[in-house]
Amino acid sequence: MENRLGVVLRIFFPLCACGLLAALLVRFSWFGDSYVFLTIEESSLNAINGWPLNMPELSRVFIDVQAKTLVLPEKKNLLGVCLGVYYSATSQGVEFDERLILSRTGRVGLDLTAPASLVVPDINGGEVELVNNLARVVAGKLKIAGTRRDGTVEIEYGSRHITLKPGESWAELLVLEPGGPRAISSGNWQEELDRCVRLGYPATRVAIANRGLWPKSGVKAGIAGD
Amino acid sequence: MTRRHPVLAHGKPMGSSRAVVAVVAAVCIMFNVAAPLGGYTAPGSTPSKPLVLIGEPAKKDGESLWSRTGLVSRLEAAGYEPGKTLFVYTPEEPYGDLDSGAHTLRQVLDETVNTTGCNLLDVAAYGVSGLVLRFGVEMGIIRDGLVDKAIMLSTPQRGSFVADLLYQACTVVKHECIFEKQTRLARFSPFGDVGAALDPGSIPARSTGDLPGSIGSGNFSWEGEAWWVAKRAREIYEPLYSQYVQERFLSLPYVPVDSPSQTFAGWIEQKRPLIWENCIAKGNETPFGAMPDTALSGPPKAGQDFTVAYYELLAMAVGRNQYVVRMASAGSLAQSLFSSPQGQMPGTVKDALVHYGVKALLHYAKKALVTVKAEVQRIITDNIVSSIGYLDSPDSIFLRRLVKEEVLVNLGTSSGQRFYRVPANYYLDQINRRSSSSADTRSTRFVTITGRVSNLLSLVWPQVGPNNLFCEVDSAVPPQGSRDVIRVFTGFMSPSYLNLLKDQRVQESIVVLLLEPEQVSQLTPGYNGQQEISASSWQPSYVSPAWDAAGDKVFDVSISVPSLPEGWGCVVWVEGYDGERWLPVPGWHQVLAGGTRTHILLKDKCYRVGLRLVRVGPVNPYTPGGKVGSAFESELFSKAWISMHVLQAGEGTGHEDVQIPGAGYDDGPGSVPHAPGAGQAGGAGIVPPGPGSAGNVPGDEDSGNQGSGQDSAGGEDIPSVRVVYRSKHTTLWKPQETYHAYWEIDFGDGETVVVQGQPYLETAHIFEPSGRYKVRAVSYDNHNNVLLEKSWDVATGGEPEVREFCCSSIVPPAVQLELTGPQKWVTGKHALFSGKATWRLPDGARIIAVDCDPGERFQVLWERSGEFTVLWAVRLTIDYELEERVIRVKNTYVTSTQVDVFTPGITR
Repeated sequence: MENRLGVVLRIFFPLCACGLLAALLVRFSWFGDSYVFLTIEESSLNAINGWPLNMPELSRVFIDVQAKTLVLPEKKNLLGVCLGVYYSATSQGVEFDERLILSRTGRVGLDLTAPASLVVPDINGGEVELVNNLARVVAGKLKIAGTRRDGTVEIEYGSRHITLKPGESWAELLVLEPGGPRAISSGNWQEELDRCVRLGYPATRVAIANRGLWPKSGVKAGIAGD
Repeated sequence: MTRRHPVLAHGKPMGSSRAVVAVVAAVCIMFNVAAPLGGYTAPGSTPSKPLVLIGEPAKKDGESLWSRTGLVSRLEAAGYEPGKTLFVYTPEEPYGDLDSGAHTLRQVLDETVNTTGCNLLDVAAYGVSGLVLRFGVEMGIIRDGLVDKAIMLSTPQRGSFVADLLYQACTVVKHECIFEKQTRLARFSPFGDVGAALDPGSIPARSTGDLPGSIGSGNFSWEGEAWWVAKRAREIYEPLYSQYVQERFLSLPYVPVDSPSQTFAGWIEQKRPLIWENCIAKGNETPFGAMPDTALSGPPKAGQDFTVAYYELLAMAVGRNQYVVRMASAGSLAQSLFSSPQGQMPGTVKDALVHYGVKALLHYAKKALVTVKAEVQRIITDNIVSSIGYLDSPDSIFLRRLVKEEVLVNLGTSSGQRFYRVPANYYLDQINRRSSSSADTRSTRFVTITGRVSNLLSLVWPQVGPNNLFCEVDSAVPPQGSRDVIRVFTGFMSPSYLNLLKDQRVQESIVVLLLEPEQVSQLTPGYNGQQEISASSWQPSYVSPAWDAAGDKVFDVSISVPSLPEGWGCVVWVEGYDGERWLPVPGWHQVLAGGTRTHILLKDKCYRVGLRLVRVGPVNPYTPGGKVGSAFESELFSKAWISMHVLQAGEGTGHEDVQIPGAGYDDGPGSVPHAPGAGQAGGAGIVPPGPGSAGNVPGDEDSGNQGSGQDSAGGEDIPSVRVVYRSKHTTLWKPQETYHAYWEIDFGDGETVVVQGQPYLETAHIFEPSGRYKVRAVSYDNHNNVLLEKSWDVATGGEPEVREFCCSSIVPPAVQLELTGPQKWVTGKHALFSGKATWRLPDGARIIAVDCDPGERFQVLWERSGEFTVLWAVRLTIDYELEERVIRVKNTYVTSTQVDVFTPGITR
């Protein structure tokens, strides 16, 4: 019995390891010199209470879609990376969160419901939170469930399942009304938005764009002066 | 009030009135504490001139930074004596403005002259004091020639990005406070509201931004800077920002943008190009227009110092801040209570009180946050500003002066348009332009010393080039004269001035710059091969023949420069010794591009040749794509090859027609040059340069040369052309002639022929019998335009008939041009050229007008040596009287001549 178990273990684990390694190598070979690039924008109507003093409009990541390049402040190891996700959260054009996630598994989780923060000093040297998280209307957590070889990504956002091929995009504008969150249709978004502004209803647009396969050689480090 | 040091070595106050508030205090010995000399040995030279150390204005009493850092001790060890040759001055109050600050420093320096009796000083100034000192020297507030070396440490010569940030922040905060006060009642009133931003629809897509037509003129309606910024923010940029937010972040259906990093400015540039073009790209002057140069003598007011574009950027920042604050303040109490998302109706009165009470509290907390934020920001900016010694308030004029000449606006747009360079500080730019033009003739040598720390800011702020966290390296370098010196030090852990001044390398560098004579490469006489000299971008290199061994020879020095990096040139000039110091010889200065050479004739040991790499491209070079580089961050070297042709007395120069100017030295350094150490090496009695053995002298009255410069023009109004680059043409007229090229003849019977040339047409054709034909001949010119058209009616009888046709068109005249002038010339002197045109006209043609460009006689002034082509053009307006009409044509003829231009040397 012990011998049998030993044999199974001796065969099973190496096989599993080999299988995993093979899967990894296959994935590495698929995405040897390219990766799928995804942008996720969360834009709220009134989730911020003021313009932070003297904060220039800056992103630490510069995205050039036409040239398919990313300019980052520091070097990144791109070995095995198959998915890049750029997430930014703004309100009234003020960016209060920004992330670049590079994934080797093709899966990424983003908790949009987690509170964001942008702190400025208060009059006593303490801190004032400028982000009003109650005014961020999102459907739930966002998860990139899988990345295919052709650049297609599988996304789970709240209860929705979204499949985006390279070049495709998806967006939803949610407004929080007394009756609960409601999705605004694209036909009359401007009127609806004006109404939200008038009545003080929070509204948030989550937009996802699959930018396709980008070359890893286009990921550059160092922005200025170094 | 000015700080007085506890002990005055020369216990004489430097002035009694408020105007003479400065005290040049001898450095107190008690300050010279614990400054280890670290094995330093004083250079061989001893101080020959007093040195004045000027710190930044400081509001607190205490030891001067020069003493604290140990520099004073080091200078003492090098031979400086406090109170005799070493003085320290620390202003106790802010300068106010560059102009008033320069007058303060002038008094300090004048008092030093009175104290020491020495009319030549070295000055070292830290931070903004360096800018004030330079302003004083450049504007003539500090007497020209008083300061020999002006050492400026960490000085924001072209402005500081921190000042720009601070000024923008102060402006935004000021306007937020105004907005908060104006809307306070509405915000806290139960039914009040701050009102919405103006409808973006009020700005049509074709709007150019509604800048008044009178902007840029003295008639511009201007109630004040704050008024103007608020007006622009409210009317243009706040509504546009509202549109930007909606379009860019909230619109449906979602269209992924090509530039996710695009900013509001980038959006305007792309979506509202007319506004961008009209308000930003073309807003290079101030709202009150270009400032006359004379205005530099007096400080400008608001509206005269910043450009229109910079005011637009300020309004942009204020507009978007106002939009955000307005959105945060939006909604009345009633709306908050009854229209909130959590609209569950409370079941009991108690629940209702709690429910609506909490809502009311939250509502007012939100409103109060706007007030608190505005007030906090005001306090923060006030505190920041007041902590800076040379600023007294956020409205300080000096803060305006320190805003950068040009700011890089972050567009965030892809395709290499990430940043846009916007002229901002017009006044500082004008000062530096003026400085550039006089950089090679001023007596004072500017020495720039600055530090560079790791560019951590570039991680979050890509616009910033290599810097010391306050000022970019390139912004610390003033417009460079050839003789100026740059030193950039690295390896500091922080930007503190103490770290820079404490650094042994910096201290040693200052001492060496003050006391050590410049290195001069001696060229061996009799050696005709090439010798290699290294030219630097940080300091001059000097070349001089070994005069002692040279005897009474004249040296024809040839300097060749290899290819240079883009944006760089090599400047070559001649310096003369006036008995006290070396000074540039006016007019003996030229910039060589890579791969070119020049000749200089040298005689007398009171002269030497200087070489240096100079920036001919922009400072703070910006590469599309996001990288902001530096021209001066590191020292650039290039080789230059020097060869000499030694001329014995009476021997020709080897360039037989080279004409060596001897005139013009009256404009020289102020006095006749003397040999350095006159009398020591037999150099006494050096006479001013005059006509020499090497050739005739342009401008020499005896020479009678027709190309002898302006004097020979006899007071005529002769056009003059200045040539710096080889691409410069003395005329831009192109050869152009109009004449008959071909005939197209339609015989009216279906047959058409084309006859090339033959301005006098004679042709025959056989017509079929019993027909009526309309014959048409059209003359075309050499540009395929119809010159004339002639027709004939032909009727034939019963037999085929041969008919002949004759017609004339335009015949070009025979024109000969002759351009006379020198075949060889020198730089810096006007050469006279005269042109002569002769022509022979065909019958029926007459000349209506003859125009010449640049003129029948004209002068050319070259600023660099080499082979140049001089072009001369004549335009003849000719009327051709043909059978039925008069045709007028304008023909242009161009001729040229080659001129070899040399850089002259100095000779007797």
